[in-house]
Amino acid sequence: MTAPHALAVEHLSKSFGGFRAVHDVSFHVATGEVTALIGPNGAGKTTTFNLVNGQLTPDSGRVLVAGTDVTGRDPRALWRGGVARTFQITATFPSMTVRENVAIGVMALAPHFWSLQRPASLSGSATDALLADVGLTGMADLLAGTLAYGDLKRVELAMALANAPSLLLMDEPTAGMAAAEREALMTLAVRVCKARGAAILFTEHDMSVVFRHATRIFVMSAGELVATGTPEAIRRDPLVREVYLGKAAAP
Amino acid sequence: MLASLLIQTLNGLASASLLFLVALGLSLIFGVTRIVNFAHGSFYMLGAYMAVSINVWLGGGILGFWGAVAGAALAVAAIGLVMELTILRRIYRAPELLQLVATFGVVLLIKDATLFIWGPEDILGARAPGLTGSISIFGKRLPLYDVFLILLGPAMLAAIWWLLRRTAWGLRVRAATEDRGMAAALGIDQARLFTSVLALGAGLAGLAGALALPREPASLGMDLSIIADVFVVTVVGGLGSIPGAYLAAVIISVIKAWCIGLGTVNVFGTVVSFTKLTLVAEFLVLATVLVLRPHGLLGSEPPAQRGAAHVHAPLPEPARGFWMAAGLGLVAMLALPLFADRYALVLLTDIAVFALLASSLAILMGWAGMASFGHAAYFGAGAYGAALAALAGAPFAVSVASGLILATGLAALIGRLAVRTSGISLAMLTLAFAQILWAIAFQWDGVTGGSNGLVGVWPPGPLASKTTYFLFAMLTAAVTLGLLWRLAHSPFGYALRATRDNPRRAEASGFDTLALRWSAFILSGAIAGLAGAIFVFSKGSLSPDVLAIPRSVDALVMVLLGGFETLAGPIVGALVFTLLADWLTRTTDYWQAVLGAAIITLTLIFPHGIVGTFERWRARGDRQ
Amino acid sequence: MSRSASTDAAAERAARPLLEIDGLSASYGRATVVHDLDLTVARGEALVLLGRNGAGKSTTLKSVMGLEVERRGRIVFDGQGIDDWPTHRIAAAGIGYVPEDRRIFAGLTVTENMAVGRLPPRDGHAWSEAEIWELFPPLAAIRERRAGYLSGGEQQMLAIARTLMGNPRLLLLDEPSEGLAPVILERIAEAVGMLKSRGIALVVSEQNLAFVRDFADRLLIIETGAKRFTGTIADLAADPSIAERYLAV
Repeated sequence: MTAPHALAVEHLSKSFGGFRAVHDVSFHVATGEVTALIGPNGAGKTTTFNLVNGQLTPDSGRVLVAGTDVTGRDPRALWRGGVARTFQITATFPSMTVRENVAIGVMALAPHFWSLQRPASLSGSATDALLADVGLTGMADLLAGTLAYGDLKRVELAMALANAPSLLLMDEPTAGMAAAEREALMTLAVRVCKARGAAILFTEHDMSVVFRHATRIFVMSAGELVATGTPEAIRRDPLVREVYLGKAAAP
Repeated sequence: MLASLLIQTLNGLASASLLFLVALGLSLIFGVTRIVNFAHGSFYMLGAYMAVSINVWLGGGILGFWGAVAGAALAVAAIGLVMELTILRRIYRAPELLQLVATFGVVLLIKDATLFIWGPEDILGARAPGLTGSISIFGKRLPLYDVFLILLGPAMLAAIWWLLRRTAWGLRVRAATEDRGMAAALGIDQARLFTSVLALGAGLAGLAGALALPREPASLGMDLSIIADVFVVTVVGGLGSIPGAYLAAVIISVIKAWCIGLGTVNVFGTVVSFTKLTLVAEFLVLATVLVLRPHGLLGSEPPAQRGAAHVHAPLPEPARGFWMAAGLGLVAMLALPLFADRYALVLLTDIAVFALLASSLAILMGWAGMASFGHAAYFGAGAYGAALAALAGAPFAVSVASGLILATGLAALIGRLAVRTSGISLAMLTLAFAQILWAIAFQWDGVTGGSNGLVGVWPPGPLASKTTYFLFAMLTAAVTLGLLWRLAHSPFGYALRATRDNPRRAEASGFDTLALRWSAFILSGAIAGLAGAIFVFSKGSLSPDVLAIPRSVDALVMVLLGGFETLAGPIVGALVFTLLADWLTRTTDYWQAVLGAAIITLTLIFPHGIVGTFERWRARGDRQ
Repeated sequence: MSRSASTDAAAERAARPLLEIDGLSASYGRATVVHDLDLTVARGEALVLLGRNGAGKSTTLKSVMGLEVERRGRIVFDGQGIDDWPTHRIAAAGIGYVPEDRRIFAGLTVTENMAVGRLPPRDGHAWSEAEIWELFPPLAAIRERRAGYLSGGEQQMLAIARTLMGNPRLLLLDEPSEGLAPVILERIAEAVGMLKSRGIALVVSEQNLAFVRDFADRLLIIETGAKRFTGTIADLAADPSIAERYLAV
């Protein structure tokens, strides 16, 4: 028996009213693997993503994280189970400093939640290590609400990594960024996740980011998984070309 | 038995129609402007008073009665129009909390204007000529006027449905209700649309007030009693849903009518007065609906209007100097009895009490991002709990603890329901609960002393003098606030602010946001209860007024005045407000109107809150 | 006398560009998204704003409409300064806006959505429903359906149709191709081309160059809220490094 996958999705289905958003989708993400979930708008990738991160509960099928069935658990339980996530619209706490933002992620794990003392995680080594990993040590005392978007993305990454996840879910991680920043952010995310042994599953519209960073790509169309493979294989797949890339991939 | 149940049901349906008319106006106005108009109950009251005067002026009779109904509706519509043009128009982009407070300023203005014009006595209206008879159903009599009202509700529902579905104006209203920015981008003049909707909504409330006259006299308490009912109806029916409002009005009115109809019943040897359970029934309906359907019976999450995101200010850790200053301030306060006279000491004790109350509300609003519009509920519960225990012979410490426990329990109960909602629904809900509690205290003569309240609640010997009681109040407030300030930068304080800043992120980072919000609610209620317990012993007596809406709004105004995004803000707010109110009540009989005008002026000058407005000014300065 | 003066004024107005933006800066709260941007659109011209997500394209269009953004700078439409006008007046003056996320009224039917957009005739012409059905045949079949139940492509057609009911002289289209299937894209591109041929000036914000190829007169590349390149499609094709640098193709 091999070690369980970081994430295994088995026969996942979800309908809204009469609309079949996701139908019988199965795939897995190996430990430490970087994978992307792509597809045109309305293909069901956002629904699939939300089924995995606990925002939605599937009508049928299972979601397993590191071998444990987590189907239908809320985001909080998933976080405790080693699943971290970032949001399409960067989600941080704007009224607090960068250090406080990161410390809060660490805090939820810490005991003495009800003490009147200032939280230990604010000066803890775990927080410092996370800040250093994403290169924010120098900005630790700035208010998150005043940062540039690219820096904010790094804050969110550090926040997500606070629970030492085995799986990081990133929803359109580079949306709203300039090309150079996109590249830097994904390179950073992949590097720190590799170092910490976390697998990544991300959705993304920017194909250059997808093809450069994902080792495996899942392609959805009309609620179904239509292709799985390496970037080269996906680029060559005529079906994928037809449903998604269209003219953009044409020479 | 069955016949009488039927009659009670029909009676309830008649009341439901009037309630629906008011709720309908509120819903229409909320739909397009996203403002919950606190003054809507005042429009209802004005409708009643105006109808009385117009009827007299027209010389009574059929022409007098129906002319007065039409005239009152039109006159109140005109007042709504003026209110839109002068006040609401300037605050559409303000935070919703401020909008509610501004419209409460209008409540105060209208109340004193009514007092000035019509005097303090209730005024009986004429009965409807031609509808004074009654019909017989299974041997019971049902007034013809009730039949008229029963038919009026569905008729108005149909009329408004037609207006919204079949006219160009209705189409614009529906479009603006969904997305007013997009409606403007298609050439719809929002300003004119809002003005017309406000006039219509106000007119409906005025109509309801005029039509209520044959059933109840015009009185100065009509405004707040109906607005609380209307808030309940709106929340139960679903914010913005018109059929929902009718359904909720029917359910609540019929259940109330049943309770009154049942009267006193002997159940298994125990005498139960259902008449007194009407308010409990209302509470239960509200609670049940919110548990099962947090957005109301026919409601859904209202679409967020764009461009209104509010970013909270940071709450930096206090520097060493802050604690030094606070300590010095406390010492100065404690030294005051050396100079102050008896009157000043009472006022200072009030300030300590209200600093606690305002700070408790500020925790909820500032740290947790939840606005309670009924914070007097916990203040009053603390006061009643302490007073009842003291009158039952409990020692002082036990009495204060009893008040604290009652308030905490109540906050736990109401908070459990309230934290499921947010924003404007939360504000309406907390207000409705507080109003229900007020009514219970007002009616439950045997325990609470009813409208007379309770007397003879004095602290024991060592605290009996004004000086020692002031020292006690000030020290208790100081210690409590000191602990709160520590809590602000404890893990709990951080987690709470994280939940407020971004609930989805907080959940994804492992925090139970609902539990955190609930804890904040309970903590806030407990501190308000403590303030109430201290308050009642300083006054020696209490009346249901400690629970009433104006008290809740006082607390809000203190918090907004001082700002809830700093630790010291609520204290400054309590100080300024208490001194100002004291000065006003000694200066004029119409101090409510002055306060109302002050509230409105403040919200017009500082549409984003005092702190927020300064922030904006600074940001503008930075860019230039 | 007065008549010839007004004719002169009309002639003078006709000689000016339809839309002139001069030194536009736009911000949300403290974050400035557009910096000191100038652009002009001639009568009947189709200008395409290219740039990546977050480059400031949508904000530029919202600034013209006076929607949800704080703006500074001069905006002149048909000879009149409109930068301090309320949104509805800008729409009534003849600027139609089709937002990125369409913002159709989900609870209203297709025809009701269109009725909301109806404004008085302009230059002697008012779009009729029949003309709309001709432009977007799929809408005709679903005219009584609630807009919330429409597909993405149908919603995009409806959003354009609704705006046309206001008889605009200038149409602002914000990312019309976003999230649409290729078949639908072609139909919408064709419709936009037809609108241009009827004399309606266009400002189209896009990331998909293929979509605008057939109707764009001029391209303007925006990055981080500032103008980086302006020229025709041929100019862009002549220097591939520009596209490489500013557009994620």
